[in-house]
Amino acid sequence: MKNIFICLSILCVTQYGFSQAEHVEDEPYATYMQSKRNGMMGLEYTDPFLNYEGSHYFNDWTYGEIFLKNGEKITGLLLRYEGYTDQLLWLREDYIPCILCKACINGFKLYDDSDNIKASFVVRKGIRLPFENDSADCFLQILAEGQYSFFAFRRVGRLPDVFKLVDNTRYYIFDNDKYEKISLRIRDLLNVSFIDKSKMKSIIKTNKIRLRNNEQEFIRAISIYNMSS
Amino acid sequence: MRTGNKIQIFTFILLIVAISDLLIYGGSINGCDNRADECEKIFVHLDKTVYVAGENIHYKVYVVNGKSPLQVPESKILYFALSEHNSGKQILWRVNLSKSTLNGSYQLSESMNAGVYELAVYTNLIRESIPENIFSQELFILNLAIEIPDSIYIHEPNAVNDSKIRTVNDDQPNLRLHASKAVYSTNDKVALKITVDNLNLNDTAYLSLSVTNEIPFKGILHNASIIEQFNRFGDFIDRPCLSGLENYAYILNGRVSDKNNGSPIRNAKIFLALVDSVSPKVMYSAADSDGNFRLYLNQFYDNKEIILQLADDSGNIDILWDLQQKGIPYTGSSDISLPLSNEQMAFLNQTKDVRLIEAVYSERMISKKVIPGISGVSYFACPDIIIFPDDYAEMANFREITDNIIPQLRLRNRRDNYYLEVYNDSKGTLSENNLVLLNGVPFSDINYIATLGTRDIKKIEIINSGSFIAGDIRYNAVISIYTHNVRLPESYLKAYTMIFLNTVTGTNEVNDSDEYSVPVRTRAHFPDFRNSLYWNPELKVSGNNTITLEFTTSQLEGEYHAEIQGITSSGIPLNESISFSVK
Repeated sequence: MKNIFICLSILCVTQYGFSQAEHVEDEPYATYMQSKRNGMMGLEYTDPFLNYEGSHYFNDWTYGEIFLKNGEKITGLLLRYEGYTDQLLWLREDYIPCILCKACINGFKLYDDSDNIKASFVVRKGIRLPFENDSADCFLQILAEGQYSFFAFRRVGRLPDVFKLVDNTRYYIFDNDKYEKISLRIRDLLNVSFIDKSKMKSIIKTNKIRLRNNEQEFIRAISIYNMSS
Repeated sequence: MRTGNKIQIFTFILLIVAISDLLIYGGSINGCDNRADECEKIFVHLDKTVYVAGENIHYKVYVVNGKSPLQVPESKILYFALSEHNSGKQILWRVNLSKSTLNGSYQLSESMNAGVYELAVYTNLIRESIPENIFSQELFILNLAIEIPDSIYIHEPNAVNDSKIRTVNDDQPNLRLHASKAVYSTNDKVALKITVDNLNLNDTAYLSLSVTNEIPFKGILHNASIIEQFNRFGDFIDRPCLSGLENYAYILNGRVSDKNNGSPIRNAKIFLALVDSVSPKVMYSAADSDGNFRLYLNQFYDNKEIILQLADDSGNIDILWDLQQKGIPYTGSSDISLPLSNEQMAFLNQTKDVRLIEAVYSERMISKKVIPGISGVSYFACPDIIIFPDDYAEMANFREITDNIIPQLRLRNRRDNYYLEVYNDSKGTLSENNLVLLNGVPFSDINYIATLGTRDIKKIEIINSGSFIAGDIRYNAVISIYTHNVRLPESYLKAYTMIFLNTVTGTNEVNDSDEYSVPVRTRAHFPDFRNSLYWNPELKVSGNNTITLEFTTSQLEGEYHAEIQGITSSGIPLNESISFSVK
């Protein structure tokens, strides 16, 4: 018993000592990030849909990082994507939610509790939206990356006359700057102008991919297509 | 299994875990075994030792991170402090450090006093945590307009350093420098051969070479070689080597206090901005209870005029801004006066004459490379309203502009002082608690704004769709005004702000406008009295290769000294020198 106690003490002392050492090493980064976070500015966000059915948020407040236009990044932020106005919100330390100006960031990443990437968004310029003449810069979620990228625009719509919000996600396939909007249907995918129809058909067939309204299968199909091209 | 055995096995496992912890972390508590040895070390090779005011100091810097030599150094900012002996007057400049070796030049001011100077080179980490690792070199600076003094001030020989030099193994790479002849005639071609023995095939030696005339100050000016500098060790005080590390950006430290009574302005809210014609690049920081604040300036802020001011309403307080310069204290107490001999005086006079001739006859090639820099971040880049007053009929002042074309803005007057009210769309109310920016800088003098008309204003941007939060301050709206002349009134800047020029000297990556960049042949001008024959900071020798360098001697006869300093990619310092005559 005495031996165990001595050993446990040694173990605790060494672990404590070295955890302190590591803490000291992280200090410059932590101070730098804290300074960056404290210096952030933006419009206070007020929720316009408090009593609506459904949610206009892609996620609950989640830790993430933002990538600024100048190449710097700010980590350790509580972030939330708001799909109705296509805005990125961050929760300040005083619990005030703020809108981060879309023009000052290139994208953001959200992490789950185990520090794995839950979702990555990028700002894509010049996306033409239905019923709008002008193109807009939008946050698009990266679903598959490669020569052909597959993005989701997590748009939320409001039903007129009823207090209800509905998911209105749109999907886009990009080949560098060219892009096409598609629905989660096999015909839409095969009709994308820059995708080789026969090659995609064979991928779908050989991998037994069932595409209809299945986001995950679309990701799989495009990922395989990217690998084979 | 018996209980006693179980306990023994358990104890044994715990001991193993504890020992493994010691092995993993034990050698690197706080990042270093021996602070001075394992943290950053610097060596600087200069093109010569005697300069004349107005000349360029050409340098090559070698920075070694003790833990991983020739990896990109942790520190990103390198400081130079040139201190005049005796008076202790100091000139400070800094460069950005992106690689473990860099070269550049610094032009000495024409107004410098003649005498011995000490050049200290360091990072902020070294300055704060390991001052033993500050690189220092003594050099002589002359001035064409000032007589050479009869005596000079130098460090007392014993006061220099009591550290020891680690011995170098015989099987380590060895640098060899060989001149084609021992004696050259004037305007003769010199060929220098450089080889590195025992260099691994996949290893590379990064070198710099200077060839200059011998100076009669041996034993007086204390200058170490790279081998001495990097292998020096001593009984240094054990301190954490992390304090002051600038590994992300230049850290602007400062303190705000009341000018009248010196008391700190607690929790002061500070805006940093710069004049910008496109979008405001405002940074925010809050001071602590002692008035100390810290801001990280990335390369976007290099060589720009930085404007600091209090963000909250403290117009009545006279503010004292104390910005940390990051110089090093000059310990001149041990300086002694040394009379100059006739030989030394003659040499210094000759150096002045040579400089005069070179200044008149030497060719100058100016070629400036501009590398794309990092951009600033504007949190104000999504305005709700953008107005170009030029698009409308001419209006004489800001009241006419607000009354006629911006219904969301009201310019009002209270006891002869103007103020701005902005209609906030989300609240549905007018409020005067707004952030006004003039050409990207927070600006509180609304009386001045009131005088601006359509001829002055280029653009007005308004953010009024919600409360705008900057740090700890909540504004009803943001009004950003850009004028055609992109200027701020001097009176406002003097009264409410602190301005400093964030000067960063270019390195070879940015600026290579120096005389050594001119090809050797074209430098053979007449009359040619160069006392510094060659400087090449970017030599590379790989494996068993030999490199040969050629240059011409000038018309100046005498003894010349070729010195080569460098480091291998595995972190081994190299140094060699030879002498030859020109007759």
